[in-house]
Amino acid sequence: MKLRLLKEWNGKEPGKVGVFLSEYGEQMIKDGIAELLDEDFVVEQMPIKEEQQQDPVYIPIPVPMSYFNDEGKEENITKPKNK
Amino acid sequence: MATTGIINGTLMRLYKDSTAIGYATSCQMNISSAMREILTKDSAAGGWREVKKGQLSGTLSTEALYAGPGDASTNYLFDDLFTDLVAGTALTIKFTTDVVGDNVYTMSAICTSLDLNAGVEENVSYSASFEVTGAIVKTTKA
Repeated sequence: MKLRLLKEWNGKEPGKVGVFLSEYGEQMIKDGIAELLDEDFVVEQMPIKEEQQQDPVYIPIPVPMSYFNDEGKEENITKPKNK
Repeated sequence: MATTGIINGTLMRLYKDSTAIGYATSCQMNISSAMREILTKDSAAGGWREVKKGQLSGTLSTEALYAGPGDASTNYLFDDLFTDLVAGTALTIKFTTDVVGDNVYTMSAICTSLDLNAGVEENVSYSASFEVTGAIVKTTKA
């Protein structure tokens, strides 16, 4: 169960919040040391890590000049001239 | 009422006395039994190893996110475990869901190691290991 301290407890100052076993927590409430925040609470809120979207990285691949030799012909293939 | 079916691991956590070990992301309990060899020349096992139960032992470990003295929590944190490790204090640890009808494993354990990790642009986290001293007692939460 989740409790908030009303009095100093084990060196922890009032106002601090924690998760306790229910039996012990109930006694703390009875003794006026703490107040109940959530009876069924078990796990504290984890710090959430901000998700960062990385920009795509373009890596230039070196190619020989001959790679572009037939570039004109390829144009002809994909865009045939209408005669 | 006891939890039905497979228990969600998030709910089962380590408590020092009755205070949760804070910001835990995982908890493990290991129980093992050492074996003592009883093979003798008189054994009828044809050279095969024969064993009987030896010492029982247990260890605990947990991984958790790190929060310093500025944290507004009463939970048991890294700094508390640091003090216990240096002092060699035997802690009363319970491993339970805290649900009525579920099992509670209670033991005395000494913190044997703490590893604090701080990666760039990552949460500071740590892992703690404990050696159980004495018996691990299983009870049902009433």
